[in-house]
Amino acid sequence: MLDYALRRLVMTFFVVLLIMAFLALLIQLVPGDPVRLVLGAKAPESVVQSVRHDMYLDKPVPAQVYYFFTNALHGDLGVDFQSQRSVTSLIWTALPHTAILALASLALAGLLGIPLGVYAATHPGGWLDRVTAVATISLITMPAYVAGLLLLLVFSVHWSIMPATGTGSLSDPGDYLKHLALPAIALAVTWIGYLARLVRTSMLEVLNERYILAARSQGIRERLVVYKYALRNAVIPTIAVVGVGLGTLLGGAIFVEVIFARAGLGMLIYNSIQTRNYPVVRGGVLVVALLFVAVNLLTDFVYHMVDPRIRVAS
Amino acid sequence: MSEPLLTVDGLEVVYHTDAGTLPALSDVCFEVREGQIVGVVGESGCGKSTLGAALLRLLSPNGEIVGGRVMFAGRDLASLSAGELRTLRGQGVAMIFQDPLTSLNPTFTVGQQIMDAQRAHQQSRASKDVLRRRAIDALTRVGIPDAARRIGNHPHEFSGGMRQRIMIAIALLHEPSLLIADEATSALDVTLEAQILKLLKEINAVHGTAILLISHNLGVIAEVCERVVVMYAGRAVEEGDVYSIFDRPLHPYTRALLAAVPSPQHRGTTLAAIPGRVPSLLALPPGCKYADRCDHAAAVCVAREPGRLDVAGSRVSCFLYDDSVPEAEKPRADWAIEPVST
Amino acid sequence: MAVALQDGEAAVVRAPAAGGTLTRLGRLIREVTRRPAGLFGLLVVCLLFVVVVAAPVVAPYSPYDQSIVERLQGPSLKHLLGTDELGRDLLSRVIFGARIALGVAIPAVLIAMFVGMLTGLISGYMGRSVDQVAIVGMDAIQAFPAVILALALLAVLGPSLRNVVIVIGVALAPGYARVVRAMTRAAKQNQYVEAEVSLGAGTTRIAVHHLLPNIAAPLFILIAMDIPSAIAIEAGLAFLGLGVPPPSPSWGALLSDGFRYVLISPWAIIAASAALMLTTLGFAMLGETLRDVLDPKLSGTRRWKKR
Repeated sequence: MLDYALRRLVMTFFVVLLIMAFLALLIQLVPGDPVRLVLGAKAPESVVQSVRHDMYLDKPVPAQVYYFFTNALHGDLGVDFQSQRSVTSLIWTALPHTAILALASLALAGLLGIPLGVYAATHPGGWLDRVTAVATISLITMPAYVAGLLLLLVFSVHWSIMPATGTGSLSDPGDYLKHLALPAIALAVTWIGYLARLVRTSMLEVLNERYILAARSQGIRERLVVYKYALRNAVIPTIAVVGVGLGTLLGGAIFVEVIFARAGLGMLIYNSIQTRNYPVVRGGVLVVALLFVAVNLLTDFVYHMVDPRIRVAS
Repeated sequence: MSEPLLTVDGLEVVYHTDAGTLPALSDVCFEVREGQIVGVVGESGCGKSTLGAALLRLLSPNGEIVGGRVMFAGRDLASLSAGELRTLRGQGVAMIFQDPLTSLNPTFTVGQQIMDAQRAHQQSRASKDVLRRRAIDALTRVGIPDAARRIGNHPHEFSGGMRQRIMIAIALLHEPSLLIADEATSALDVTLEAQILKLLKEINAVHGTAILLISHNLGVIAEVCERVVVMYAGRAVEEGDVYSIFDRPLHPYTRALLAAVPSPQHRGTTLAAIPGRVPSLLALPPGCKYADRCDHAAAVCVAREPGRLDVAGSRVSCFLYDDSVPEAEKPRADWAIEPVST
Repeated sequence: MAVALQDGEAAVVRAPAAGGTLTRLGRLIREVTRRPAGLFGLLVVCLLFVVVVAAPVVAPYSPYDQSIVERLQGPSLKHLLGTDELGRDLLSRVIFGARIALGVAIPAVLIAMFVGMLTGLISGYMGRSVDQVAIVGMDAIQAFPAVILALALLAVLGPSLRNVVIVIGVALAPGYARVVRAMTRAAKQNQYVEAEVSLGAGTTRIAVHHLLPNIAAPLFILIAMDIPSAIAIEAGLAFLGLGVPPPSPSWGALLSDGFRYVLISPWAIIAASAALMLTTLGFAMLGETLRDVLDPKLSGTRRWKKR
């Protein structure tokens, strides 16, 4: 187990290195002078030079990567091109909203998706199973922005019952929740389909296992067999998938935040792209990638801990 | 004669698959008396495992019982409600399976599984301590050392033989009248197999538990069983007491099966194997299913299925013993005894 | 949702099936159309191709014809799906949008496939450090949600048809690399292959005779699942303003235009959403059916277990 953990960590370290190098070098790809592009043709040369210096753009390329990396270790992701605010503080303000959005959609998806999957598995071939199968594929393939736009259309424009824009403030939880609802549902939609199918497939496989047959032959109540025995075994592969799904979630978050004008990391990245604020883009994308890597690592370890067989085998 | 404990009468089971409807069991008839040990033997795919599941009405979702009756302790299982069936499972009839590693849930401790099995059939709510103590007792009774500590272990932390004992312990928790052992020793090596068989015989002798032993291993059947049912392609082709089956097999398939068992007496001769293959259940021939591999098949064998006949104390499905077939068309075999029609 | 063999998952290298390629293809098509999901998917995909090829013929108007008088109308006899904010016919824009969708998705998936296969082959075959480096690379690319990676790259490179295709191709490549890598590694250890190598078979023969037939199935499935992903990513990028530049009628652009005028007219959003969903649904169903059909005969034995 320890051996495996160590290897994983080392690999992850190199992956993170590569990601950071890539992002540090990204700015080199900009056709023309990135600083000029942002500050405009009328900005005085001295200002341009000073910004370039602050961005380490006057140094050789390998040095840029090096500085990016060492600064990042100290939590310094550079400064905003225009307002000179620290990128880290910008991200720090935006991140909680995205995190809350992600958790809310996951919770929603779990609440709806898992029971749906269990029901479909325990009534295979039934009408609900077939409807679920079709519905879930449609839900899975629905991109987050389509879900968001349609929800916006129906609940904010047509029926005007939910707010269309804004985040609300955390000091007013009720208002915050109202602003959270539609975005969270939009993101959850893809996930519900995904989870339901995963749980269904997992459950079907587990329900065919001999230990389930053995449990039934011992006269154990069906409800116990399904919800205690089968579900626990079926959920394990689901955990492994959560990590991967988070990537899609984070990708979808950017759309949902834009559509609902909701503050968050996605909105931050989007705005920065519009204003060519590369340090913010770079920092934001880095945080997203790091989050994803961290969650994957975590779910990998949890998965190994939860399944006693793998724990022993490692 | 008192009523048999288990009566299987004309049982028909099919599976619905993408490729069509498979007749897994056709017109299977046999009985098990109280305290009796009956064996069901046959090659892979002959339907013997389907039989085990069907008896407890635990077929997989695409399986269906489409004919016949199963009577247990005088009651027709088809007439039981779901609740009554559940009461039956584990209490009246218990089952143990082939590979104990896959028969025990890997994510729960052995103790939890035993306690759950206990809780399935308790009249009053016993406390967790009582359940735990009973679980330790159950393990000790089947010969698991250091039971009190091992109760917190997971299945994969036990050896194969011990896992099978755990399964047996669970099966015996509620003192069932019938124990169905579905290939219970097939995944074990010879030494362990002998131990488990000894345990089963003990259980039968001490508790009077009837046992339905399903196996492909003739040696196991010979050692433990009193009566034997021979199955082929979903049908019971011969049924009789163990001595008759082994000394004086009536059905050509039984004979061929016995001949195929290698033994030191046949050293130097070619290993006898039954030529041909078991017919695919998707494409069963109309007549006797064994006809294409049988040395003695006649035209009537290919044309229609033989009925069940009582011959010298055994029951057999073969035209060799069917007097209703004109002599000219009947198959012949010099080893076949003259039928004494009843 | 891409299908990929993760590292460590066993890849089974089987001997190639009997029958010529054409008969096998025929059999495959028959198996797929036997299932309603597969039939639906195949029909949608075919419809899409027809629309793409015959767009100028099928579309009632040019997607660029503006008519300010008729702007933001709902469906009518004249404009079956309504009009957008510049009076352009939505149906025509949707139809030509299909061209962009496939015009981006197919090259992107092809790039992903070739780059991925090459990487996977080399990585799986050479093993050791080359392999480790490749894995780190794949993990790094897959550490970004596809959209975010695309955004980051397009933000610096600037949006254009070429860039969008390349960027999506890069994002999807690791999926193919992993599958091919797993297959290559399995083939390396496969005893058939060992035997042939010891008899002097060259690498090419091994690649063609053993790898290709076994790769075909997972590759097909991956392609069928990646095309809708690519379409969705492209539309998403266009929605955020980083797709193929206007006035291209990308479905994403339709969504973004519609978003701007959402309070006045929902039809652009409805039209583009319907097109996107129908397309992705069709491909996804086709991919699902392919997986059912081509996966190691799971669909046959799954329902009937011999015990």
